[in-house]
Amino acid sequence: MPDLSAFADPGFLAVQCLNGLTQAMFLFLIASGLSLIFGVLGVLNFAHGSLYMLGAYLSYTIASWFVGPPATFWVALVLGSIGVALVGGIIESVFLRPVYRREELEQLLVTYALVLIISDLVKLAWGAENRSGSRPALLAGSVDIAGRDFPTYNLFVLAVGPLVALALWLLLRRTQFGRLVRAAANDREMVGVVGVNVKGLFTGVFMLGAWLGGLGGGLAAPIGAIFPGMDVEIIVESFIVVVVGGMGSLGGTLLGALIIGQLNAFGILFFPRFAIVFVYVLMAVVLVIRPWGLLGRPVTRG
Amino acid sequence: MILEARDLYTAYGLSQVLFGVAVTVDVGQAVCLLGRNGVGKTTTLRSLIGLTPPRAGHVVFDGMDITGWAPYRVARQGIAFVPQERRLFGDLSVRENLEVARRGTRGASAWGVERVYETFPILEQLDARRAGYLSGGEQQMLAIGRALMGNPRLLILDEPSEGLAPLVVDALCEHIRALKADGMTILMAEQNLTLALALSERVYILDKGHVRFAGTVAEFEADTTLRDEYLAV
Ligand SMILES: Nc1ncnc2c1ncn2[C@@H]1O[C@H](COP(=O)(O)OP(=O)(O)OP(=O)(O)O)[C@@H](O)[C@H]1O
Ligand SMILES: [Mg+2]
Repeated sequence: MPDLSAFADPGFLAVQCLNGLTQAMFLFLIASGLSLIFGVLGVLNFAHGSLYMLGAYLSYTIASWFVGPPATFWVALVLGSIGVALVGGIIESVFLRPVYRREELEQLLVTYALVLIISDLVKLAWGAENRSGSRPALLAGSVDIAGRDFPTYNLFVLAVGPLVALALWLLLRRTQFGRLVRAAANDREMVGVVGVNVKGLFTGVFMLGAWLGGLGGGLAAPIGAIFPGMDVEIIVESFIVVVVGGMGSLGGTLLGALIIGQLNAFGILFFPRFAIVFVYVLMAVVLVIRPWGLLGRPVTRG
Repeated sequence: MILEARDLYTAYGLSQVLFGVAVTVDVGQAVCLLGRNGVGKTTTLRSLIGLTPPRAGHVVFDGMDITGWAPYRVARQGIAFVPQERRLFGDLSVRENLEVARRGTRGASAWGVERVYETFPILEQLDARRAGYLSGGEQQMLAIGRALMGNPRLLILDEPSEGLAPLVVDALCEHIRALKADGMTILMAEQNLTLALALSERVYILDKGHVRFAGTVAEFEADTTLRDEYLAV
């Protein structure tokens, strides 16, 4: 029987809610890239969790290169995520480009192969033991939330999520790149017909998605442990976020991430080991009632 | 001669559709491909712009051999294409559909959103509307406007009148005539004979992937058997 007395403590509830929000920000970063890539390239990228993992390890290592200076974390975050974007560019042009015209199953197999390859490369480069990054001095402390401690760093993550969402929204709505991205999601052949090099556009979109994943990993480095299984852990939940929110919908991805974050945070009070059950149930319900997701639209892909 | 295509053989997988099609267009002319459903009009146009590269044959545009070029390079070379189904970007607004096709050349004579709106005033009123919600006629105007945004030297229209009400077809005809008067070179496929003959200098008749007739409008009108044999339904 779960300990329901916890629900009477407002501080505990608030912190639990904030924990859920923090997790939601990570899910949003990964899932938005996943959803963007699917919406434009039509490829379900299993390896997106691997890019997240790579972001965490790269940031961790870059931070360890220069011990001391206060800017370490920030430099590592920026360089690490850009590194992941570059890796993404290589992945897209070498492995995905040849399979766009193939069956979806074949594309899935390619991205799954990438999961295995990256996982092994990470084990080769960093070994199998857990690591953990350190928080920037500025954000090392904690704040008091109704009598309970909440890490300042997590508050920072809570701010980054909405900022990235806003920046993405502006990018998609207000720039030529964004218009091209949305146009390509409608009809990629016509984007070529109006004079746009679709290959380059696809590489750009994949790099952007990879960068988001890498950024998520870099931000996660100082919080959770960095370990070789973190890719699979996050990709499963990110898929669920995208399915619940609606493939290709940025707002849906955000909503999905918020819901899953809270379900996890509070579900854990009922079934400490099996909180994920709530998430699976939610996904099943959404799939039955609105198979295209909460904010998605029914699509017929041509 | 701005466009010269010779001996085009094009297939979809195993099914051969074009058997040695040849088409030429002179600067400032309007040329029309005629023929019943399924004879290969669209396939010919798609072969020219690289959407369905021909297995054999040559496409020369303004002295440059563009055979097999990717569509985006063909577009940058100066050929714009308005597909039969219009294929607007349905989630983008009218203005965004134009902006997304904006390309290169600036200057007084270059096409921009404002000039497209002057040419098709109805589009200006629909500025923020999603292209997916436009009527057939509005869609066609926007599709042509989008094509013009690339400042093409050759405008290719695939059955522009298809599915439009007679009054809308008349308006469309006037728009195309105005573009032509402005110096645009036009190649189109059409099944509306009245529209085709009103606008074109020369016509081609396609049948089962072969060119059965090529000549001026006067020559076509002189030979009445052509209509019965290749165009009548
Ligand atoms: N993507 C495709 N795959 C296979 N066959 C095709 C494809 N597109 C067209 N065809 C076939 O090629 C032939 C020529 O088609 P095409 O579309 O060029 O004709 P059309 O003259 O444009 O006809 P319509 O007047 O109906 O538009 C037809 O027999 C058609 O069935
Ligand atoms: Mg056709």
